[in-house]
Amino acid sequence: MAKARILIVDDEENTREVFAELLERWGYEVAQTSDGHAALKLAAEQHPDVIISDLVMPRLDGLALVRALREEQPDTPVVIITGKGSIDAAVEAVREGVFDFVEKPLDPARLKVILTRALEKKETLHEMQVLRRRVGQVDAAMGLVGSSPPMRRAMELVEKVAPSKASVVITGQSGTGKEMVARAIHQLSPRRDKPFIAINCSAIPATLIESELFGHERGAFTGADQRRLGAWELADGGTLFLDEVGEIPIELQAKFLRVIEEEKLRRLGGKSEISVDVRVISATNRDLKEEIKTQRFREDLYFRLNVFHINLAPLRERRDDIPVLVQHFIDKFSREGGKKLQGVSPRAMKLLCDYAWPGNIRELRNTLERAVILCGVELIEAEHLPSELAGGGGESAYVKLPYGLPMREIEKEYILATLTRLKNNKARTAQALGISEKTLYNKLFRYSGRGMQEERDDQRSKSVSQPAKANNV
Amino acid sequence: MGHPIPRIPQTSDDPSRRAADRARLLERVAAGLAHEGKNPLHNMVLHLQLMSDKLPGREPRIEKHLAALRDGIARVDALLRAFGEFASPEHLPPDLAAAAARALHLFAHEARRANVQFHSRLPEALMVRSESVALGDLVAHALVASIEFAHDGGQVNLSAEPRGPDAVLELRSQGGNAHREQALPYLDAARSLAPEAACELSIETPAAGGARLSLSFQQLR
Repeated sequence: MAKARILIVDDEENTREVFAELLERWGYEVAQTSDGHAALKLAAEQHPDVIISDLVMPRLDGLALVRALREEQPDTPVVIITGKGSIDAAVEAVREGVFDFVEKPLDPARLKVILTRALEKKETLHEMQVLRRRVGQVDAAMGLVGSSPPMRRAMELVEKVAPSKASVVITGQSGTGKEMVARAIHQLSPRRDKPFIAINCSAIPATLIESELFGHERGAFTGADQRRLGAWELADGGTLFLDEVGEIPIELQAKFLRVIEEEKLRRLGGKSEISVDVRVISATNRDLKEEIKTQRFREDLYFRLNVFHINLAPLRERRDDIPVLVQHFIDKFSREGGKKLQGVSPRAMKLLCDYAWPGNIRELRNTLERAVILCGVELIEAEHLPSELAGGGGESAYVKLPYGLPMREIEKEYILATLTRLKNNKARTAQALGISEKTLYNKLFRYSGRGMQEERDDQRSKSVSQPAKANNV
Repeated sequence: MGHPIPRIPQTSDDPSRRAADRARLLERVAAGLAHEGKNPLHNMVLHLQLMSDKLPGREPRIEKHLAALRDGIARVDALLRAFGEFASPEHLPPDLAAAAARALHLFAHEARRANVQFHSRLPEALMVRSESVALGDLVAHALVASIEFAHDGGQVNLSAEPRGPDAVLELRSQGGNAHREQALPYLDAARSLAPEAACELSIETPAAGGARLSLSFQQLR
């Protein structure tokens, strides 16, 4: 089993090195760096399982690092270690999505527990992603919902091209459902029982994309400690979906073209050629013809990929589909959440139909997922929708929480969101939540580093309170 | 050219002004010290753990040394924590018991120097309707005054408890040889802080000696 990878970020060299040595003795693979910017770069290259960062650092501090990572690697747990152990700092850290907040000097036994929990969380998120991908594959063909002229045209093209092995390019704005269309083509093709492998070319660093696509042999480059199959081999017999295909580096495009034409590839560092049978579907929101003019994309590769072209219209150009999409997503999320929602009220539907949907179907889907969570009655009302749909750009009046969150976490998220909305006014927050200020303080204290430890201790011992103790100094 | 920085009118020999300037600087130094002191402690803990991991099946006397080092680190850490909280209490909850425990920790050396024994009985927490900075300062001044009243061999009994809707901290000084003069500035400071801390302060100094300070607050429910 591969060792879990931990990235340590601390500007104090001595601390960093002894910390790294300690974690290596505990059986982890450790990388280390001295500041937040370098940490971001290392995280993108090495994909650590957990990041342990100091809070106060020059240039990019621990919380700024967490904010930046939330965009790039939202699934990587970050543990913040700090000498500044105030409740407010801990609350802010939790609000920013920090996995745990530990005060200096560190308690090694506690760190061991935290690392175990962080790795469990990472593993759980990974398993959830795999499950979601499988579920997505099953209902992909059903996901093409709509009866507007642009959608009908797209569906006809999907049905026509699916049985063949022709390469397809899907164009359209972000969120229009390019991957859904690709999955639908795969599901309707004779390859439906073989793998559908999706790769987002823009999410992979240029240095890794060749290895991601074609795989590598052990020792092919520094860090290649075992053989790894690339996406192309994984998709053998099935379909390879390349999102943001325009991001493939120009120097790699020739090799890419050769694999498509010859249906053979050689892994990085490999000596022999491997035969592959893969259908390639690409997607882009760039104008590839323009990329050819500026010599960022090979013309011969473009013609090889673009045997068949499907363009997806933005949602605002097919508003007729909004009601049926709304019902589709309500049914889906009600089923998944065990609810019995019937639909939306006329006023809510008007708001949904009038909105511009700059994020297209993805934005509509997310909006309805949230509305289903918030809605406690049979019909989704206007107040279950974000304020921007009504033309207001203000802060949302709702808290979005994922399914399956433990009650304890739900309470914490809700309290922190209320505190934020009421501008950190603890008296008003306590009043709004219907609890005493004392209870609020106790809860906030529990969310801080010390408090979290107490919470775990509470869980173990279930002791409600301790008697007054006598101290003699 | 930037804008000139306005100068607050003052006389250079105004002693209260100079004291305030110095107190402001000291406050910042104290907060920084409490924070920066944590880094070397953290470093020591890591080295100690590594040393401990590298010496499996070690002799009991080595184990004793390691335990002593851990204990020393924990004591310095507790002191730094109390110091940091005392220096920057604005983010702390208004907890009367915690403020008293903090003051006990920070002025333990005063008590030892004055040959005064502390006996304390504090609950885990006792939230009061007060302002954290004023609360911390008030409790510290009351404690130092109590030490002065029990100077040279006396004792201070300190207890905090809820009484109906209120929470009361009581400090009783007895025995010893009271240093009344030295106690007065701290009592004055406590009196002036009491309204700001929403505290009803009562001070009794019986002719027979000793003192009883009672700090009463409304409990936070």
